[in-house]
Amino acid sequence: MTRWTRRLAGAAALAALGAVALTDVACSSIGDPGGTPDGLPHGGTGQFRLLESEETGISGPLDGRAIVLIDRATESGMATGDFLFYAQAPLLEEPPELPDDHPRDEIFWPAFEARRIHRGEVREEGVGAYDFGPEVLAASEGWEGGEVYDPWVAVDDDGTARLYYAAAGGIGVAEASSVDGSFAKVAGPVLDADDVGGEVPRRPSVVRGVDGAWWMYFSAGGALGVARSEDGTRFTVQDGLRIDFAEGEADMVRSPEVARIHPGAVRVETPAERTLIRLYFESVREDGTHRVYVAGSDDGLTFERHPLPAMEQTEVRFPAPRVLDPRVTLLYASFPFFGAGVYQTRAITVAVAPADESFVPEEEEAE
Amino acid sequence: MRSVVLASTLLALATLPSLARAQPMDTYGMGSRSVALGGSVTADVEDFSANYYNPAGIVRSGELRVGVGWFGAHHEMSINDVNSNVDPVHGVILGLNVPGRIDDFRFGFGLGVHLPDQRISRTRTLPRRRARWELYDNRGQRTYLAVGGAIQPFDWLRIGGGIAFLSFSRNDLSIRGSIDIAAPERRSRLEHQLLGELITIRYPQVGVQVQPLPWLNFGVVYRGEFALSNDLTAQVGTPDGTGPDRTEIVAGDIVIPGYFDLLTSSVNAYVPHQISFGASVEPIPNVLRLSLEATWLMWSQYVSPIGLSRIVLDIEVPPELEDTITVPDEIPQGNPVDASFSDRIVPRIGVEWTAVRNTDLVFDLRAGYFYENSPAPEQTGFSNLVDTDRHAWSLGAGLELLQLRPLIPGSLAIDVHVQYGWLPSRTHRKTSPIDPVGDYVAQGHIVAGGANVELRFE
Repeated sequence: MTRWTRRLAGAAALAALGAVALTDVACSSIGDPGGTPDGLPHGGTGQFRLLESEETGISGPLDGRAIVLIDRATESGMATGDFLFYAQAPLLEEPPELPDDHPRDEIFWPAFEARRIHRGEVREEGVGAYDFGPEVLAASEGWEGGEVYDPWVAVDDDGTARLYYAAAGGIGVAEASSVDGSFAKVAGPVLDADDVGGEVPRRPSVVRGVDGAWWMYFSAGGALGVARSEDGTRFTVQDGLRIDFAEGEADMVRSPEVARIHPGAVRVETPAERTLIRLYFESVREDGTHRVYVAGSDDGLTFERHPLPAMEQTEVRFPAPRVLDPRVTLLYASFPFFGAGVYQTRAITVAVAPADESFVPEEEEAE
Repeated sequence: MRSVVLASTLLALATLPSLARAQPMDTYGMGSRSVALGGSVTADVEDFSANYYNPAGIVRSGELRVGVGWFGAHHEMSINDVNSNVDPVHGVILGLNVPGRIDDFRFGFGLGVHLPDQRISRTRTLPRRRARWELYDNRGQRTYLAVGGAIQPFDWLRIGGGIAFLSFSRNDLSIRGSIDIAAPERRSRLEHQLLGELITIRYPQVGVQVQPLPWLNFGVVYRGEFALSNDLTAQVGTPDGTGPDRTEIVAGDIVIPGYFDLLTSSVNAYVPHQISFGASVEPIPNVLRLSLEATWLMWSQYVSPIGLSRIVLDIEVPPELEDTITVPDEIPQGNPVDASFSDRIVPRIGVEWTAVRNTDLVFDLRAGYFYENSPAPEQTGFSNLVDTDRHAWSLGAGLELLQLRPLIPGSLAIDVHVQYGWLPSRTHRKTSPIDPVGDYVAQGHIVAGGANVELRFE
């Protein structure tokens, strides 16, 4: 036996002893649960969780507030890029008295000035929240009836931004060279009651469809509709919009659905390089609740509806999705909020899915 | 005489206590030499890894062999480019082959162990839809401990067998008492009782090695199927709201009987029936060894981990509290979802070149490869049992020191290996455009390595 073979054998024996020592370590670590998968894929169906004030950077009595508007009423909004477009109206100096029978969660619009559309810019701190912004569109045409609301902005490939909005006579369009530019009205109404069976359409939600054209989802008379346009300004109503549960699925809320309104659509490119349209909408129930549902489609016309509401809350309106990445979706929506004295208003809030996605700053999480 | 010894051997094995749980070895292999050869060793394995690869090899060398070493595998799995946090697997490996002889009849007993140094065993039930790396997420988190025995009725024939034991868990959770909804943390009075049982199950493994010529070997081995059941029942209150185990929700002066019953039943760590056929040749005796092998794994009988779940919630809320307490209109019930896996055949190849052989030592260099096609189908529906194909390349070296007398009446072998596994990307497209998980792309890498020493007593 040579010297070096003895050394090698000694080293091997030491290694063996070390391995046996590790066996003892193993016995002391029984019960370590180990890692669990995170960053899991998510299809944007919810449940959505309202962001916390630590996440939005806006503190106050209502979680998830996306913008602070204390002395005015706001109802709906949508976010694109660094901006939040929303309609708002200040309280009149001498508002009429609130009727006793006014519904609890409805805004009493006669107490406020005419609604106009504003553009808020993203806040430097927090996620998903915006600062109060300047007015970008006001009523000026006779068909608008004195106010404009329900803004929705779609940005073309060349950066041109089109601001779709609702008014008393239907849906109009304004255009700007970019989303932060000055909007000028280019057409209106592009969709009115004559196009939609006598009901005035509102809440336009416009996305680039699977076929490359512009698809506008809207609500009229308690139902959802869709219109299609090649240029984004001349729309033709499409028949055949279907939103059904999958075979074997059923509505899991007892109170029957009486209306589907206020759509918010988003085009999604999946990691599998597939294009889908997700359509969020309000489901109005016989018991008076408003729940948000989501449906998905690969052609923009035939949708499969998810059986569960996207949010647990039962007084949610005007859902407007914003896809951050293939996994994380923000959902802007309107919640009841008392902001203007005794008058009921609503607040624009932001929620996230998957619900375990956290935007709490790292230093706060560490605390 | 031989039949008596064989019967005694099998009887001894069958009456052993619980020793083995699950099969991390299926994924990572056992013993540096065998892993370095791509697992293509069924035909001629004779070191302590024979306890896993082919128990017939326990008797092959006729030497008392005692081995110990360490093994580790690191996973880099991702879904949609987000790390899936698949835990590493590492721990100690141990093995023992004990020879015996009655006249000319040779027999042997063996023992093989993989003991993780993180946890002895982990069983977990994930949410039904949650995407998980089905073959890697939890299957390696087990202790493996197998025993075997072998006989050599003729010089050219060896037959071995073993029985491995597993345990599965059954848990019962009972809760009773009252919940005060005004101050649930302070004024609720709840008692709970947890009963957990680990119940053993067995599975067999048998193997044969045939050596018609000194330079030619054939082997076949069968490993049995097992499934680790994971049952959990939880009950809060009693169905009729009476009796000592009743549970109540208290709101001021109002007492509301409540009843909740949960049953989940699923299967963890399923390992399929598998049969391996292998052959090895030495075209240049004592210098070059080549081996080929094919393993048939019957994954088509895979029992899905997405099992049964039943929930009963019975709370009759009085009208004055309907705004305070919301009871879901309907609670979804979970039914087992078929995994629809397919059988697969895993080809393996190994090459061993003896670079140095003299009276003092033997030095070998090794390389191996195997390919596993994924048994899991594209996940188009409810389940998200993520898996992809796997290509695994391995390299290794072995040094055997022959002249250790008077320290050891035999030799000492030192083996090392590294292995790289590539899991090419696989796209899963959901049939439903509103699937809660959605489409995803999965891919990954596994880097493994290890070393062991084996004392071989003449």
